[in-house]
Amino acid sequence: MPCIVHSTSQCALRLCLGAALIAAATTWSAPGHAQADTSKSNPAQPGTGTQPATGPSSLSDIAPRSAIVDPCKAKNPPAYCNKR
Amino acid sequence: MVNQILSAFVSLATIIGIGIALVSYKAGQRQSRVDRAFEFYKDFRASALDADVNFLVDKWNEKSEEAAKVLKAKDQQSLEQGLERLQTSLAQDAKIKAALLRVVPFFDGLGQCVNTGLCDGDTAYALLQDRAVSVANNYGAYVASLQTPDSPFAHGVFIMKSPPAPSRWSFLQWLQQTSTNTAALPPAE
Repeated sequence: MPCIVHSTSQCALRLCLGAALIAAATTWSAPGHAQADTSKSNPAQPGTGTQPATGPSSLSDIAPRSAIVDPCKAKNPPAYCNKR
Repeated sequence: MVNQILSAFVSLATIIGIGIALVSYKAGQRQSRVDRAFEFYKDFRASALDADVNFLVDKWNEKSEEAAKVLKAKDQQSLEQGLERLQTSLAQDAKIKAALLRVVPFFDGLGQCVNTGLCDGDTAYALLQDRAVSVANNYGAYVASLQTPDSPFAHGVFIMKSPPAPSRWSFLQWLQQTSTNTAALPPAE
């Protein structure tokens, strides 16, 4: 793509314009922009202030339980275990 | 001569700039998907749904002896029927019903969000897959019996329990991990 300009200043102007366009596109699509678009419907941090007063009293209350008998770990698991 | 150099520079800058802009755009898109998935996680924690999942597992564990008997069935059909019967009878309990009423629609929303690419699958699976597995494994027959083919209802727990599909970003992630690992390596002697 030949640069059809007749003076250095014109070419420099084109360069600045191009650079400005690229900078604008990069800034617009930067992660920060996308984050700003994300709706902040629930600004509360997990576990701070939004828990009811009658929430868990100890860590063991919220520790994930595991099933004593897991049907999907049986020798012949039911069909729903392979469902997607 | 100067003009030609400047022209070449402009062309090069444009090509590089477009590439950078595209990569940044993709990264921005992915970040918003991650944020959306994290919003679901925050909702899960804020709504005390983990307590519901724990409650469901506790209730299932109370029936572990019956479940063990059902799982010893010789043929697959009676095993399937026995499990569905057991899980359906459990789901008649008002508290279990209420917990399922909160948990299943939550995972339906998340599953749809992941399936349609609006939420980041890797993030969603990393944060909530184990919880979905707890529900799907122990109440799957009952939940599956509620499904209809033309509705996403009661599909979410199954979507979320399955291992994530390979990410479209796996190559970039691999590149990132490689560079991180290389940076973390001790200097060669």
